[in-house]
Amino acid sequence: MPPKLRSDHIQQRANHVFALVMNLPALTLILLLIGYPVIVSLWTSLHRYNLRRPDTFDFVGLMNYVTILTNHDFWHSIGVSFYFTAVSVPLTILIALGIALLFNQEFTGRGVFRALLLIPWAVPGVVNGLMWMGLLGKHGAFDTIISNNIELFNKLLGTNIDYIGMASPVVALNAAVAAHIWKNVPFACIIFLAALQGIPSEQYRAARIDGASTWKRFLHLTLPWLLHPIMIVAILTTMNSFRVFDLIFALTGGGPGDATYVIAWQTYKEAFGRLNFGGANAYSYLITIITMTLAIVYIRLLYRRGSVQG
Amino acid sequence: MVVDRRQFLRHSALATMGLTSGLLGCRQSDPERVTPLVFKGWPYEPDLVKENIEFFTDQIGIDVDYEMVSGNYHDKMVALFLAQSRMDCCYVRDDDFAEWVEAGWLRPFDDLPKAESYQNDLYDYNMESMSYQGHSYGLPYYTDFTVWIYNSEMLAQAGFSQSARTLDELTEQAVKIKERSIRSPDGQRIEYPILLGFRQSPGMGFGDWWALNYGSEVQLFDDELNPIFPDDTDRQAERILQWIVDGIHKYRIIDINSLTLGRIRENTAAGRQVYCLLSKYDVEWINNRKNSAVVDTYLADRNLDQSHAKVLKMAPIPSLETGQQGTLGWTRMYCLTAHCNPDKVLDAWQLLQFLGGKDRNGEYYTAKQWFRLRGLGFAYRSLMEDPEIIAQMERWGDVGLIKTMSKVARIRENIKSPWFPDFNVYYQPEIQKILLRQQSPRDGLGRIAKRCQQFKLEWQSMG
Amino acid sequence: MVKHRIGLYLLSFLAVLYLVTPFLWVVLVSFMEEREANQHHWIPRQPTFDNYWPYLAKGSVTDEDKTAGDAVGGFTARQFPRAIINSLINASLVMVMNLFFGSLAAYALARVDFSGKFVLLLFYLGTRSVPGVAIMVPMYLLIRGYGLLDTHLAIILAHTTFTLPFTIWILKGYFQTIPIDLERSARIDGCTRLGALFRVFMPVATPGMIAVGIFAFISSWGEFFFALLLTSSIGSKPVTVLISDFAQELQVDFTLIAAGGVLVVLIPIVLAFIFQRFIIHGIGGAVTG
Repeated sequence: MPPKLRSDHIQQRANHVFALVMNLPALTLILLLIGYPVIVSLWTSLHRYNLRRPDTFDFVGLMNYVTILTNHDFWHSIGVSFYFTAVSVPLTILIALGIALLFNQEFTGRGVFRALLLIPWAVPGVVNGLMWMGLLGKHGAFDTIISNNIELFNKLLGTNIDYIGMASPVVALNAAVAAHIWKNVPFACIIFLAALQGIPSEQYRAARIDGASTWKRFLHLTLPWLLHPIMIVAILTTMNSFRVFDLIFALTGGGPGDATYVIAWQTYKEAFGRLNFGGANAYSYLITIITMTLAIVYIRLLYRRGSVQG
Repeated sequence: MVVDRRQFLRHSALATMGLTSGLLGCRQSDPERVTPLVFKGWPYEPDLVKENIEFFTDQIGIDVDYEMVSGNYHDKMVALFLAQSRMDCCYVRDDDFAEWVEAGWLRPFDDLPKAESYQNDLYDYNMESMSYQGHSYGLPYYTDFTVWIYNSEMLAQAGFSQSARTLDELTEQAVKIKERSIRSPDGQRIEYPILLGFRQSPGMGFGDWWALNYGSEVQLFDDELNPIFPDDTDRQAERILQWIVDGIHKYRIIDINSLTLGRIRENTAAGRQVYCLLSKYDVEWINNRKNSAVVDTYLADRNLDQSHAKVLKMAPIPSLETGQQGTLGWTRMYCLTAHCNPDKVLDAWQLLQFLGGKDRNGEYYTAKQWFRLRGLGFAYRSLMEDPEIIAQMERWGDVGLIKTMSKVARIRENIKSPWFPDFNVYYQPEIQKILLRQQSPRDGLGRIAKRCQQFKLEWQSMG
Repeated sequence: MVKHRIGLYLLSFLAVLYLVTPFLWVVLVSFMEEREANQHHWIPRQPTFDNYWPYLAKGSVTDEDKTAGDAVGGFTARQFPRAIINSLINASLVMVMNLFFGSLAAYALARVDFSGKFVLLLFYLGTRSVPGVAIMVPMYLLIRGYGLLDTHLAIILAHTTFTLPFTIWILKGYFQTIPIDLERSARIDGCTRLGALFRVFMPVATPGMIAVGIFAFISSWGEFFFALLLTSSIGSKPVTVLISDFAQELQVDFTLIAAGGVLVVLIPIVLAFIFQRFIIHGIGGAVTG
């Protein structure tokens, strides 16, 4: 029986069953592996529990949350993490979009370029941290270049800029942002490239025949087409930025002072530095709430725009 | 409500497992197999460790499974302990020692035979590091203390024959070196003669703060572990921090990258600064031509074809007043774990003694081996009289100085308090803020002291 | 037109420069002696292949003249090929599982209207917003409860659950860009829903599938913390964990880590070259088919 002859009701039920069956494998796997840890983690966050006192597991309700929310350290980390995210997400998208548009052009050697694109992503975390230390640290390969240029700048213009590299809180934080962006660009770029390949070429041809300029074609054809992928990349990079941890671990250790105390670093110190698992899990849930809120905001935007596109 | 957390986790895990084991299949180890001892450690020289253990098995006839723990040792071990993984003995860093004892993961060995026989030969600071509330828990793997290092060639270029003994003299020397425009082997001008280790690290780090304090014989805590800074005798703790702050910002003789740079040993070997604080065992490394541009240039200039030269020399740590001496010492040890299988305890104890004490022939076999092959420090006084060891030390270091410093080395005073981990994550950024001039030494130290009191109270209330 | 070409190459070159330069430094350092690496210049003055030998050949390890790196290297030499194979197995299976589980779920989310869709999407996303630090320890205990510690399956399952939400989200977005008429006409021709999915839809969706496939592969290949947590012996230890053994307490042998890093990155890059061709074929299929 052709589908269009079915009644709406049956159709709807069939849809539900179909959707459920299709999602079942993924759901099962996720629930099996993450479900339990997530619940244990939530439950632990409601207890006073430090591994150094393993026999004390007292239910304290929301006390851990209250302690954290009334602590200056938390708000400081929130500030740092928001800055980190607010700078790295738009820059990641812009850089990735630029590179994707470029590598979407047809030219010989494009395959090589696209393969090289994956390098930052493929660099293992252990190497990545040490690499940026080596590049940006004192006497590092980049650090030397930058300080030489600033010396020259000072000489030429008679200014007196004192460049102290990663020992400067501002430099350290932004260097961590730059390293994070570098590592995240390939992922975003691949998403954009895949999406760009889906643009029907007839529409381009039609636009070109209509005499639309490159810019106009980008604005009216490419960009609307990319809106959905951009939103997805925005959500995922926001989450990545909020959870950034190993880079901070290797690059700055949170310093100088508390300049790079992102929220995940604070959580790590609570969990493994102090073995305060109650507090650390509360920290984790606060991070979860924040990232989920941000994600919902994005998704709302996405759906509103998405409906235009169909 | 009091619930045993481990039980809770285990039960919930079992419940979930019951639901799903049919799906995934459940693999269990065979209980019939005669199990060897399980010994875990971080991945330093796994092949040498294995050799030592093979020698042990030959001597005593007990099988040992040595497993390397990759990654961050502390964090991975916490997971292993929580999961009650089978493990009879393991490496422990003194930084984690109190935490692991408090968590109930380590087993004291006072009740085991010959447990006291090692005490008299241990240096005081090692002895202290490995016991907790009157019980002995560890035997030494290796141990060391911080020494002051100076580049004797650069110092000579500036017209000094030896490193400063007081901090004020040091300022003078460093200022003069700065004026002389001395260059590193790769031709860069030495802008900051001093580099210190003030990089943050949750598990370790910040040893240089303690070393500088102990170099001036500063007492930071009283016997009940109440902080006495910032009002310690003559406000020495504050004055030392002030000296560093001035060194960084006023005289510009201390590199501000002391706050960020981890690789002090490497930079010293590259000749990027004249002075630094290092672990004693690194002195061999930095004076080895293979690692050190300083030594390589020195030897090449003289057409010498040897592997080591004593260019980067060790000295006592400069102090506030003349005549003060002291340094920071630490210990890496072997411990028995609390869930060491009861029928295995004696076997494990034999292994522990072989590794951290004497072998069947009454020799400190492994300790000697580690020093001979890798220069790792040892915790036993009697080894310091061994002519072979002295001869080897002469190649790169100052034996007389090493002997004195071994005796005056002190452990971090609060390292054995249950709140040391809390203190450890708190004080590092605070001290960095002082060095960045975001707060004065007095205010910063005051805040740290206040926080120490809070931690102390919190732990008292937890019983 | 020629001008356009030159501009294109120039810009592409700049883009590659940005992407490659930091790692290029690692490559160069991997040909230096430790002494030279600390001087922080770029071009090795006396290039050496020494840092690669520990990974590729067995060395005598008890020799007293050898430094720490050599000895760890000797140990690694015996393990490195195995670790590479472990990583390959893990990453490939993670990719396969992602594509299979992910495309099913994403297809339903993209094509079917059902209540609870939004919640389901949020749920997938939500699993990614819990920080790793929080679930690390309970997950370790859980995997231990399943009796899967130190097995390939443990890593594969963990990495699949971490990458699946991304895969689903991205595929859902990608699938929506494919005109629904394709399957409509197939179904009018008598195909079942699944038949239409596999015979008509999937071939057209190849570029997107390859993109997320690469994504899952590389995510698994480079993941460190959970791999570290869940493995302990060389039977399952992936290569990222293995090279971390060079960064230990006493010293970080950066030149050795650099050489290891180069070897580790080589494999995904080589695979990327192969995938490239697939992507290009995929486009051909989408445009002409």
